[in-house]
Amino acid sequence: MTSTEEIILDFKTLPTWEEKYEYIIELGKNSQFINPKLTDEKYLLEGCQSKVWIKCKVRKDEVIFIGNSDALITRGLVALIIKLYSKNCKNDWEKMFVGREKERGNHHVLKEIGIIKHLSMTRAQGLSLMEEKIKNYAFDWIQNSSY
Amino acid sequence: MTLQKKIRDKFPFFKNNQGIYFDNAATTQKPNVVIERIINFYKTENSNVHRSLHKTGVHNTEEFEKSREAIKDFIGAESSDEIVFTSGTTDSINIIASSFFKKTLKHGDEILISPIEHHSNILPWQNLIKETGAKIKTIPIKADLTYDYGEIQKLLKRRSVKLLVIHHVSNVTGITQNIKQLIDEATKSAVRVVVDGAQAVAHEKINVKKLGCDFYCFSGHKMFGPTGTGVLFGKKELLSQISPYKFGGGMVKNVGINKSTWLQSPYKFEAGTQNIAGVLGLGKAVEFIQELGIDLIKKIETEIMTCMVEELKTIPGIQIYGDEKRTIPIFSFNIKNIHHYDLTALLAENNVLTRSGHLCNQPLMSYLNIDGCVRVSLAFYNTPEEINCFILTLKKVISFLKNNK
Repeated sequence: MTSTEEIILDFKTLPTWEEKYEYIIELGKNSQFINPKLTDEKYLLEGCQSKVWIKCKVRKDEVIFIGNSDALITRGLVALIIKLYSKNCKNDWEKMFVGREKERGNHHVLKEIGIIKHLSMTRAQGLSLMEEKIKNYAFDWIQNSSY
Repeated sequence: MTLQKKIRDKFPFFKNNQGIYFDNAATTQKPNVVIERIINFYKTENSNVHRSLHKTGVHNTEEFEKSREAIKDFIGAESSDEIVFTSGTTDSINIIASSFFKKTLKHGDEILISPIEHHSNILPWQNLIKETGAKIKTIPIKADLTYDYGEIQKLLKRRSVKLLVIHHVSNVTGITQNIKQLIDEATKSAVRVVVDGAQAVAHEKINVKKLGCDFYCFSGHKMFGPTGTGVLFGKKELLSQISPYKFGGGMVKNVGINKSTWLQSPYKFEAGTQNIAGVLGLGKAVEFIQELGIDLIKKIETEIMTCMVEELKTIPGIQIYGDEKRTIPIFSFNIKNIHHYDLTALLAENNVLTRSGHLCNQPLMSYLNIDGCVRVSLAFYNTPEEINCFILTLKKVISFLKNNK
């Protein structure tokens, strides 16, 4: 099962908002993709309601993302988005970009798990920015052999 | 049925929504009379204004001008020629910045702006200084987030100061500034004054003539009218000096292929087909407010404001900004060790509609040394029951976030 399917399945078993948000917050606390010490200005994404930091790096044939946020729910969403993109090896990324260029995230998964419905465009914009940064980095990585 | 319930029933939004709408500073709900006016226009009256001589065209022109007349009376302007229809406060401020002040401000002139203005009352001026070589001079504010009148008075005496840009009511603190005093001082020093009245029109009695300001800008949608409507009030003698800023049908006296002449204000500023349905709806919104009366609105709002203040005091770790001088029911706050985004997201999850973030006031957020806050903004249709329910939800959400920290 892919991360996306896992997360959707997990979410479907959570009936109340408390449980859904507990799940999201927990993701932010326990995720290998979150580093609460990541607060360097150069990793800060401008335009989100809460502060979001995303650091991208390449290790062997893999691109790695580490993130953080000053808001509990956002930190969980950062972990979630990174989780969705982190298993992509170079081949997976290439497949993702075939014929699609660097398109912005359509929040497909976030919509399905029922988080995004109450988030305003401003906040959704924050999610788009996270996805955009991750995708842009990956796109440049597969385009540019110097990585 | 209480009077407040009767008034609330005039707003169909509340019949169709279970949530608590506490985001009135962003936009207010619309009463049936406004909605019906717009529907009826499109259903039975639709035609253009100021052009066609057929019966419907003439009727609509009369109705359109009646709205202008109603707004003139509502804000105490001297003449309806002083009322220009725009798409909102932002549009109004941009129009005067890019027309009147672009022409009159010179290199080295100073514009006084405070750090507690809405972005819409900062950005057009920032753009203007690039084009004119004028400068922005920040005016001081006091710890209670009101204007520092003494300091402004001193600044107004500088010969380079040509324009004072202020707001009437803050969209963050709900404080009504004593703008009359500032306008009087500015006028003595021959400094022009532009007032952002976006948050004032639905709550305060406005009389531009008594205030004496040169320009007063506001939006229709924050006063129970349609979105995409707004007003630029300008003193007649100033509007007559302004050249049109956009060109098209409906604004001309005579058009030649090389040269044309314009109609007088306000028509020379209203090129192209106007937001007719919107303007008619706005006229109804004004009528609605006047029928209720600002005095009654103030009375109800003071009651709900007192109720909210008492309730908010019971929340541990709360910090409310500009709490001492509030005049309208806008409450911006943070809770210690809880992010405003988390709070608002979970309030929304519980059907309490509030706003968080920098509230289009980033310089004020920097002044307060915060990234943002939660804003709860009420109007006369919000009830004490809603306040109680909001407080219970707020407590539940705070406890949830603390337990999951």
